[in-house]
Parts: sequence; structure tokens; C-alpha cells
Amino acid sequence: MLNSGSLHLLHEDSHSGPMALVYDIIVWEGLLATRDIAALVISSSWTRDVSGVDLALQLLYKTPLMSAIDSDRGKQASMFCDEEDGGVSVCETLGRSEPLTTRVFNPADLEDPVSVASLKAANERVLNCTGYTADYGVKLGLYAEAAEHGSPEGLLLWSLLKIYGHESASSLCSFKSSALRTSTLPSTVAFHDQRQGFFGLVGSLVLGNTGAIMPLVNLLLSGVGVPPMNETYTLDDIPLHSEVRAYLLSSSSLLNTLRGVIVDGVATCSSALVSSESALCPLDYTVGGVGLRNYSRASPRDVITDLAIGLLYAASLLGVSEAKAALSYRFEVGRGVIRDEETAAWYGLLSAKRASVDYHALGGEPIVEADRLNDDTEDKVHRGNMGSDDALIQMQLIRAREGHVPSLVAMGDLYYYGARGMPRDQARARDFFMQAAERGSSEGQCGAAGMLLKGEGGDRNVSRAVLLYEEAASNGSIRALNGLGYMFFFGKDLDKNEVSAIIRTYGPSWDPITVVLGCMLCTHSQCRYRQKLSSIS
Amino acid sequence: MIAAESQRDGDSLFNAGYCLLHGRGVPQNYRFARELFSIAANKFGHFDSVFTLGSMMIEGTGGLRSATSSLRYLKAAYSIGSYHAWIRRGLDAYLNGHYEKSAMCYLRASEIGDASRYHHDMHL
Repeated sequence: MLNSGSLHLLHEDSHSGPMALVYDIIVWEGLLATRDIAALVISSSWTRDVSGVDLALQLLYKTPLMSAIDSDRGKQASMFCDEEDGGVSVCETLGRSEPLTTRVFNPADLEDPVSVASLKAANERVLNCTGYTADYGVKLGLYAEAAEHGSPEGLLLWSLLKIYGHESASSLCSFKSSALRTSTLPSTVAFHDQRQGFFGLVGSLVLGNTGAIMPLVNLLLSGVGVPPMNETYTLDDIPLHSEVRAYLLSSSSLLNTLRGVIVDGVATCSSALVSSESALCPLDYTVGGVGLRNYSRASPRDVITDLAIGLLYAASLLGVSEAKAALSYRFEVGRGVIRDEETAAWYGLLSAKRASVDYHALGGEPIVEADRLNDDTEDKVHRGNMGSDDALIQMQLIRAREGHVPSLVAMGDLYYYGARGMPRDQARARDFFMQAAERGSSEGQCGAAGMLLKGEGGDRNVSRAVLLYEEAASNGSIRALNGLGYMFFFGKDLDKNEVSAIIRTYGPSWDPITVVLGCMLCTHSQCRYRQKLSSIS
Repeated sequence: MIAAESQRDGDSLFNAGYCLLHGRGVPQNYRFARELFSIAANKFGHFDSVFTLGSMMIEGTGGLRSATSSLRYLKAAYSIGSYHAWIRRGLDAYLNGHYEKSAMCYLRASEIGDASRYHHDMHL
């Protein structure tokens, strides 16, 4: 469930799962004292059932604003009303002076067949990568149509196109497509409108779309597209369902609306998505049990930053790893929160776990390039990022075709990672590595073997991988030795005959585990395995 | 493994460390495992070693528990997540002359940390 650790607020084991979410939102909202929450818990019959969260939040929502500073625990529980920050005055600034409108519709009921059909049509255009030039407006229109008929996804994609244009993650048809790498894409600046995008995201969050959180944070923190908080606004140019529009317009100020949207939106999201890992830093990870202090704000005056940080907490609760990484960074440097390395390390660990999953996605190993812009390189920034337009890469390609081994390996690497502006194309990478391997290059043999072993850029072929590793190992390649060791260790891929063939090659009593580990730990300088391996490497 | 001992690549060190950490084929030895991960992480910027070492440090496995030291490694590890792609999107947008878009992408990336850090990335 959501928060399996002991809850920071009341610090009792029973407050885990969806209830923890409720408490965590209270912490972040910081508007209720602990005893009030305790009273609510006692007087209610909430269970750990996820469906209770929405109701719980609505109940809490209607609770009159209580001063959070009237008890010691209350001080701790409050994120906004820290005594050092000015206590009551801060509460007054941020507190809700009026009851917020509670969402009365169920987002799931709004979607109709038109929205489904429009979304499908728009997505097909994206998947097929067809006709960017002419299609941009059409696609935008289809998403808008889906959004008007209540599609949270359609509204999100419409907003992302408004904000990021083609670069938005969801509209990126394929990382492999070289079409996106060239400069032939038309500028979509004419379509850009971050303010429209902002309201679109808000609407999408109302409909319970978690994907809207991080882009919304992006806008709030950068200030781009964020309208003044206390002005009235119209939403005529945003493709919203009439119910959503009425809901967004029902509040007297944007700030109030946003607060309402966040709580409602998070409640909706939580009933749809339940993360399995604990999402907030538990008390025992903090020094001296002052964990809650860390949720206090460093600066009491910036309402928008607080909203954004609140959204980050919400996203973190809902399992968005980007939010966890962002929180880790904020706690590390004390940006918008009080600096605390314990909390930073906690969020860092959560996001690193996710990064590890990303890293090991088949064929998806990320590449990190020195893609930094600065004044010195203004005129040179294209250099090294032009992909197949790069003269040096073209030259390398020609040499590779002539059979030049280092060029073959280098081209394999470029295609494997999709580096220097080249598209990621692992089938081609494998081809280049194989060519290098045939010409006796250890690097090529190891590159090809690794891809054969994992099934990247083509089918898996374990026995072929073993042969390539063996050949490279016999030429003294450490990488190949490790590859072989790995395969021995996870020996299920090698059948008996293959293993015995390898054993015959290397010696009669070759014990895989001994070789993998024993030699490293072995203290006998005369060990024959050690000598054998030394002679190889 | 002889490959690990030669300290010429991160994978060998990690695999040896992994076996020590989990007691696979050898007696469990957290301290030794942590040493090997440390070499693989610092010398080769090996991702799995960086991540495992950071986790061990925050949990206090095989040595002292330290949030400060673990953060150094965890940060390097989480920077690699899929959101890292915003940096590249920013550059691509810039190269294509879509400066507004580029700025939005870089702003989003900057939430995860100092962009210049990506320059050195796993090399800590």
C-alpha cells in the first residue's frame, strides 16, 4: 500500500496505506493540529480501503481551519505555520479563508465514446509518425475534442503539446525515429501557449491524471504560463468538459482553485493508482526524531513554490520517481524546504531504485552526453550533435564500410546508445559489432556477445555469445572473462554439453563458482586455476 | 574472480561484490563487498555499484551509516532515471531553433539538479 512505514504524524503502525496518504496531505497542507486529526480518526470508521481516501479528504476539507500552533505536536505537524516563520500570520496568508468547492462529479462518468475515438485517432497519428508538418494542428484538434468530452489523457496531451511542442514525452513518436533528430521539423511556436497549457494541466489533474503533476510543477516553479493568483480568468480557450469548467470557475481565486484541485486530484489519482513502496520519509530516518521539522518551509512568503512542493509530495506519494528525485535535490540543497541530508538520502534512495529499473530496461540503457550549452560554444554547439550529418561520423562510416575495425566498433557504440545525435538503432549496432568480431576484434566480440546474450537488436543466441566471449577471452579480454563468469553463474542458459565443452577447453576440474569467486579470495599463490587464468589475462 | 582482481572493469568488481553481498558461492562479507563496489563506482562509474553502494551506506551495511556519503552515490544513480531525457530534449530543441521549448525542457531538468553535474555524471 501507499505508506507501509509508521506514519510520521501519529506515529502508529495502523496509520499506513491510504490513510497515510490522507495524513501526509494534511501535513503538507499544514492546516490541522494533530489532535484534530486524531479526533477525526477516532470519530470515523475509515478503513484501509483505498476508496475511503476520497471521502476522508472531503471530510477533512470541510473541517474548519484550526490554528496549527496551539499544541506542541501541532507545531510539528504544520508545514506552513512554523513558529520561526511567523506563526499565525503565515497561517493567515496561506490558510483558506473560505470553504472550497468540493468536486461533485465523478471523472470516470465524464468520458464518452467521442473522447475515446478522438484520442485513438490522435494517438494513431503519433504512433505512425506521419505528416508532422500538416498534422500538428489536426492532432491538437483531436486531443482538444477528446478533452472536451472528458478525456483526462486527451487534455494532458493537448496541454503538453501547448507547452513542450513536439518535445513532449508523450507526443514523441519514437526515440528510434531519425525524423525527430533532424532539423526539418517545423517550428510549432505559433501553437505554443503555456498559459493555456497551464489551465489544461489543472483540468487534467481535476480528472485524476497523475501525469499532469510534473509538467504543472515545471510551470509553477519556472513561473512560465502561471497567471496571477488573485485575478479572475476565463477558460474559453481551453478544451474543458463543461463540468470541469464550472468546477474551475467556481472558486474566487486561482490559489483557492489550485488548492482544491490538488487535494481532489490527488484523491482521485490515489484511488486509481496505488504505489507499493513507502513514499514519504519516515521518522526513524531522521536525526533525533525531528522529521516533521524538515517539512517546514524555508521561506514563508512564496505561495506558488509551496503549491509546487505540495504537488511534488503528492506525486511522490503516487509513485512518480521524477518527483522523488526533485525532492531529494531540494532537501539536499535546502531549496524551498529546510536542508536535511537524511531526508534527501531517503528520497534519493527511492528515486535511485526507479532509475535502476530504467537503467536495466532492455535496449534502454541511458546515455549521458556532455550536452551543455554555454557562451564559449554558442557557435560550436551543433558540433558533435549532428548525427548522420556530422562529417566526422560520415567519414567513420565510410571507413567502417571498408572494414576498418576501430571504426566498426565505434559505429556500433554510436548506434547502440544513440549517441552524438545519431538515432538509437540496436539492430545496426549489432551488425557493426558482428562485423568487427569477424575481423577478430575483442571489443567487437564482447559487444556482439553482450547483445546476443540479452537479445538486443535481434534474437537471443546464447551459444553464439559463449563462442564470441571465449574467443575474446583467449585474446586476454577481461570483459569477456566477466561475461563468461556471468554466464556460468547464471548457468541456466548453458546446457550441459556447452558447459562441458568449455570445461574441456579450460581444464578437467573447472568449477564455475571457484573460478568466478574463489580465485579472488584464494590465498594460495600456487593455485593452478589462478595460474591458468593469469596466463589468459 | 581474476577479472575483478585486475581492476580493469566495473562489471567484474560488481559481480564479485554481488556474490559477497548475498553469500552466493562464498561466505557473506559485507565489508569486502562494499570495498569492491566502492572501487567499481569510483574508478569506473559503474551504475549498479554506485546504486548498491549508496543503498548500503544509507542502511549502514558493511560499514558506517552515513546519509551524507550515501547521497553522493544515490544522487549519481537517480540522475540516470528516464527523466534525464529532458536534458537531451532541451538540446535537441535548441539545435532545432525552438528556444522556448528548449528553455522549458532545461527548466524541468534543472529540478532534478544542477545541469552541469550531468557533465561528469557517474564519474562522481
